[in-house]
Amino acid sequence: MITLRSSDGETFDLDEVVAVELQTIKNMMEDGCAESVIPVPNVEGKILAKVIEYCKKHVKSTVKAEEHALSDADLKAWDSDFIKLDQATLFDLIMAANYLDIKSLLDLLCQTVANMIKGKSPEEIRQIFNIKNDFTPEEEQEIRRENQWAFQ
Amino acid sequence: MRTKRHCRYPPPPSDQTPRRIGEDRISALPDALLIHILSYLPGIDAVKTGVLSKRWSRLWTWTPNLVFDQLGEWDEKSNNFVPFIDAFLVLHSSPKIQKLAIDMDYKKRLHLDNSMDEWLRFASGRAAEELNLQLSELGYVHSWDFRGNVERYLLPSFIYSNNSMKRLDMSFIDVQPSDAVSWPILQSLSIRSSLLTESTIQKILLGSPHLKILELNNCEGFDLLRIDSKSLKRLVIHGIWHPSGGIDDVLQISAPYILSLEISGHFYKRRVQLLDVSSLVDVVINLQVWVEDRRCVLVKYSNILREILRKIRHVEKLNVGACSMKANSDIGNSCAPDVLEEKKKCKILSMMKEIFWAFLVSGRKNLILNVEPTRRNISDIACFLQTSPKLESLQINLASFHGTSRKVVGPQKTSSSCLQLQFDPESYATLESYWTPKNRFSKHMLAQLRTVEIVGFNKTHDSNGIVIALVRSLLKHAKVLEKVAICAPEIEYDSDNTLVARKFLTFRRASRKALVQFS
Repeated sequence: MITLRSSDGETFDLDEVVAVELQTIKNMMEDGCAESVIPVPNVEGKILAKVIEYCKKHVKSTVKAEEHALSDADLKAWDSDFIKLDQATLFDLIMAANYLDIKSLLDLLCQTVANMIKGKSPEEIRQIFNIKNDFTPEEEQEIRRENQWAFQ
Repeated sequence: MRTKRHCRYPPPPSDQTPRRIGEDRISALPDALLIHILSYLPGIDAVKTGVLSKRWSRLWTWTPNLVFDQLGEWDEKSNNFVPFIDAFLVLHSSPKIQKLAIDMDYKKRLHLDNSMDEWLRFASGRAAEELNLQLSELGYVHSWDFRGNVERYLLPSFIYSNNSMKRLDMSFIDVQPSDAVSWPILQSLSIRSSLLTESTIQKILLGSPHLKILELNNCEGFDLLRIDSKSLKRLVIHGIWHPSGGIDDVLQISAPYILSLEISGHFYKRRVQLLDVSSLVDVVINLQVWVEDRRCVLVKYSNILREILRKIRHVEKLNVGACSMKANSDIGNSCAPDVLEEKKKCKILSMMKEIFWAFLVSGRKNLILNVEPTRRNISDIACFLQTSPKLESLQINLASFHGTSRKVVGPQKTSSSCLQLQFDPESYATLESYWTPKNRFSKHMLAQLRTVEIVGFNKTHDSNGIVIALVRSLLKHAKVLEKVAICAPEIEYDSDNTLVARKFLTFRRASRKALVQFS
């Protein structure tokens, strides 16, 4: 049993078989520097809770396979519910998944953000993500001219 | 590739200022993560991010995946597609890319061929691991709409020598290596709509010592597919391309080391014959053939299927679709293939005389049947079960022929109390007759069956009476049955499930452990 402690002091108990989904934790366990309670200073409690929820669902274990076997289709459906998040949580999760090195979660989240960008014009993308256009009018002119081929 | 992702975001100050609404969280991500997000975008979307802000201006040039799909946003602007790719590649910064994927219409022209050569040279130079070239002939509509010899793009010779490629997918491309092929780390190869000679295939196999998967879709030019490669684990043959040739035109497959085989799609008049497939563990057979409207020819085709089944008796896992045929007269119509299937569906299996089944007793443990249970093919289902005495797991997909889930006619929201529990005694009697003591197979039948899964059970469909009869029969005879799972996606109300479940509870069981589950 591994215990993780978030930046705001919340603790979470995990079976080892779930903990190894978090590559960072797995490396610590293998290097022998995993103590009884592992601090995760970059990640808030409510984000860490969501990360662990994901890992529990996706754990690859032959023992669990019989009891909680979720078909690929079911897992995909669960994932598409999981990513219905506000932007703040989404980006917090991306940072957490990156720090804790959980490839499948990071891929899922990045794909989600990519889907928000796909098919949109630059103006729309700026609006969705509150990106400030910091080009001067001259610079903007230059960029548009250079990238004309991209905006037929 | 992994190292980029390891750049850690420096920990935020412990007294975090509360997040404001309207904050730009995305631009605060480190470069590596933004590039990872961009890697999921096709080229046309990635490049647009270059004008978002200064932070974003160069990031798109580092995307590891270069994906260009002409059908995407190019409908009216298709003459810009090629210059777009040219400009994109010129500006690309990363010395290594993961994937180049191009999906476009193709008509042979010199400057187009030159551009494509340059793109492939770019991909080779940047050590691309995955190459995906999906060309389609301009105006090409259906796979059976064959129009003579057309000119395809000729794969340039430098491609045949590539040390970084792990995956190669090509469609409508001439594969004609003049010298030896060298693809030392290639693992997966898929070729569609190509003319391949036997010597080309041998060159490819010889030059790809780690090839695991080979897919040939609608290819032609070979009569014998001999695969001696020990690395190849999976072979997929999906249809042939040219509907000429007579019924004595045979495609022979000899692949003693492969573990997984799929034979599906249209074979027109060609026969498929398996020579040596002794290592096979799982097989998918879903053939469509095309005959003239003559009964004797139908018998010939059922012989083909019988021969295939005989050769794969040792295979543990079989997935078989209801093989169907298209009559010659249909080709003149411009009906969509789906409509034709419905109009003239004629099961080869039904043509097989029962006596033939006697020689097809197999050792298979897993069986997946994609059928529409009708009165006509109850015997087919029974025959498959009879010839699988060691069967441990059975799955029946009540999907339509093309494997998609059956559409319910109109929403059934108000009918929760009107669940039609058709229990058809006639079909039950027919089924039962197949495994009564008189039948020579019945003693061993279903003796090892443990799990049954029925997918696509539809409460209002005609066939559910037959399905219920089948389940009843299985419950009655399978002595070690543990679980019958019925997947009924259209049933919305729990009360319906309980009604059916209760009905099933009334059936006699041979096995005390047997459990019927609904989902």
